[in-house]
Amino acid sequence: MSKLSVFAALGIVSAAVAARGGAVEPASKASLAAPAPMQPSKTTAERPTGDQGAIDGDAARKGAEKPAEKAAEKAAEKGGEAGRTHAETRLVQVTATLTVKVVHPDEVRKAALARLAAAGGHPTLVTENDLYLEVPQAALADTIDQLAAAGIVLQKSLQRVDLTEQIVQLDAKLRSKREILGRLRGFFDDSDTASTLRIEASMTQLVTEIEALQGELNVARASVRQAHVQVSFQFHPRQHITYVRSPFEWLNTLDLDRFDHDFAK
Amino acid sequence: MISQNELPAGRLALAVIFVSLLAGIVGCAPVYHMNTPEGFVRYEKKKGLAFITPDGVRLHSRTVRNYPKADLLFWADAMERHLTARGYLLHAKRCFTTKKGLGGCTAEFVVPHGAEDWMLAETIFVLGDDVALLEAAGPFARYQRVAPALSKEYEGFAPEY
Repeated sequence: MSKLSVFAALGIVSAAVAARGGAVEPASKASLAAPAPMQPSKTTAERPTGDQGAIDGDAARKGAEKPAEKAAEKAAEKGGEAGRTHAETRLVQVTATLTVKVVHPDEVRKAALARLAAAGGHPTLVTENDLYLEVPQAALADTIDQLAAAGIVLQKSLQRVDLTEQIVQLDAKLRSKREILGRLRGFFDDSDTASTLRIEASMTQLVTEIEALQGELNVARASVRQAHVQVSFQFHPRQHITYVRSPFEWLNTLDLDRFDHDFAK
Repeated sequence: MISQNELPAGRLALAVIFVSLLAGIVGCAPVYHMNTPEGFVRYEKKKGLAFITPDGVRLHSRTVRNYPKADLLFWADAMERHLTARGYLLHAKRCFTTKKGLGGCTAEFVVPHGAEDWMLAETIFVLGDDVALLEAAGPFARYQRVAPALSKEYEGFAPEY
């Protein structure tokens, strides 16, 4: 391959890097002395995050993805509108928030955790008054019903965020960067030392970006795999109590502290 | 000459009239009747309706001016909006008619009080120029235990002029 095409490829990479607000790092002295490697100069341990699978794109992980994710990706790739509009192909992050007054929070918490484990979920926060759970989507309705039945529901909300587009875009970006990385590896054979160093610097930058994207994608996928349930056993928004004045004078006298004070007189 | 300790008949008559007027004014203040809800005892230290449970749930009545003059639904809605805007959490609201045909509305609000959640229940009755307020409050769980008894007795509420 000619030097011209090597630098043309580097130009594409640099433009991509610049577009992401990144910068091509200069090569280190160590890499100047060493023969041009086929891998980026950073060792696996030095990489900020991720693994080789993240860089190369692990087929195994893809195989383990939910059918819905695959279907959504396929639909996005083909531009199939039917696939996009079908509810089952959407990747939706669900967060349910509940405030439940219960007489014995300890017992309710224990029972909820036992049911959660049986349903394949896990807790992410367990305190005296709060319980944050990660629940498989299929078990969400049952979990909410059981928690609600344990006491008096003061507040209940359900938030759904469609992450399909975000996940598809992240996946496309990742694939594109992996392709560029693969092409750069092929340039080493015909390049001189200076070109090798520039290629290596670009590859290092690409690897960092790939790992960041992979991480972002993993988080997004994990957040749609399981529903989030936040349960509070106590209503405690003390900071929300404000002293709003009403134009109707007697309404301003409605207050728990005032009641307490008057009764004690 | 009249000594300082003796009042002339005219002054005495004026004093009697003044006292009578004062008594009349006081007498005009509405007096409410409501049976003692189950689990409560009368709290004798307070004027008007005042009840208390052994674990500290309390109820007390008071009267406010119906100004600007409005009906029950207006005040029930205004009260709910005002307390919700202040950060109270509306737990339940119920409008009912007493045995004597008087309309009333009870709104129960949850509010943090110290380290606990408390319930503040406001029941209103519009009585012409006055609004009768029955205010009950107590820790959430304790209030919940006596809430049915309170609801039952609210229906027996009646003003006595």
